Amino acid sequence: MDAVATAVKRLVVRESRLSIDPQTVADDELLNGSLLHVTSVGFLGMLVQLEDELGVTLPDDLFAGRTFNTVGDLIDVVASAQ
Amino acid sequence: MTPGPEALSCYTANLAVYLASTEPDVLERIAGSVRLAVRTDLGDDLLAFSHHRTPLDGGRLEYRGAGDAATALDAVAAEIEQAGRCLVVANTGYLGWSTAGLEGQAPHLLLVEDLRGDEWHVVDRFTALLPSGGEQQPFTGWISSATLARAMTPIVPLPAEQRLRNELAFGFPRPLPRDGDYQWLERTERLEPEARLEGQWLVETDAALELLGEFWAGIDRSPERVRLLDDMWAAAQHHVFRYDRLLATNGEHPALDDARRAWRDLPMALRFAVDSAGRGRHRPTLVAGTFAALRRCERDAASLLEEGEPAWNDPSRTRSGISL
Repeated sequence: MDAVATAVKRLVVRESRLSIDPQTVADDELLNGSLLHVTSVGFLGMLVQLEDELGVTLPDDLFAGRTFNTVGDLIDVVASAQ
Repeated sequence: MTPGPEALSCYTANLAVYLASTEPDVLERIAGSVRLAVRTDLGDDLLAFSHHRTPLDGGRLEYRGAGDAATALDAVAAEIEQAGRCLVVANTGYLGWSTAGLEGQAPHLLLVEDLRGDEWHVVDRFTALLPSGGEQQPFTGWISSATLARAMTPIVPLPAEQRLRNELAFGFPRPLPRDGDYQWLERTERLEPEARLEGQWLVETDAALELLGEFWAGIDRSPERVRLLDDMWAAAQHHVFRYDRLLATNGEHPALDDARRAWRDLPMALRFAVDSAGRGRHRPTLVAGTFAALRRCERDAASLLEEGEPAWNDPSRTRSGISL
């Protein structure tokens, strides 16, 4: 798993207050579903942490016409900022 | 699903419940009242917001205050006896069902419906995620006089932006009791006064959004503007409520759905811009793009609602309340 996916999955697990191996989280897992429970406030906190941890700057059109439903949606936007 | 009062703001959620006892279609009226007007002449980087184009209470609720909790609770009991219920000005920092804490104190209208000995039946339909990451959950139940008095603890000093929110809670200014008083609202029988906004206001949505786009683009130079984020959240909450009800009542339409999404995403984009500015990453393009998209969506939605496609000009739909 690449660095972006690893960081994203570790953060979504922590944000959901779970004690599971982040590597077991599928890319198509819903950010707010039966397993993960990421709130909008927690989501924003993750964006900030991902910028700091990975040294990336997320695009200014981050929210324009984009919907973040799954872990993969978040991985994609962070990966595109690298 | 048609949204209920829980989808409204910390002022309007319980006001809606209060009014619903005598006005069953009050949610439709609140949805129809939603607007965004901004007062621009206050100085000190302060803005005031009016979220309703008509007074939600019909001009019949007046703030009252008392310097001590016992006097206030006696008056609340008298109002329940007289009017059947009473809205009190609570402090989120002292609500047992909120995690706001003392750092997150804010005024909040709480509905008190009954009194039984030393217990009060309270209703709080408001629910929200808090900036701290915690939540305010709905609550309905009996609480003691001590708990109610504690929930009404005045915020001292009351920040200017919170005073403005109290004054304009129903869309138009109301006189407030002195700071530091325990406060509640009493129903009056006087006729509805002329609804007027004092000072310089932008009452057209597009003009208000244009100003707000410039205002928030300057967050890096004026970080204290963060104190108005809650007003933006309330504006977004009210507009999402309005579009949710329109869509639920009249069926899906892309222009209204786009407007709903643009309002829904506004608080998150602004919070991210503010947080980024606080970390030295200014994002004027994000702010400008967010407001440009919102203005475009609002214009499209307004055109649809004012001029209407055939399906949206059906007289039977107008009678059911989509003509705003």
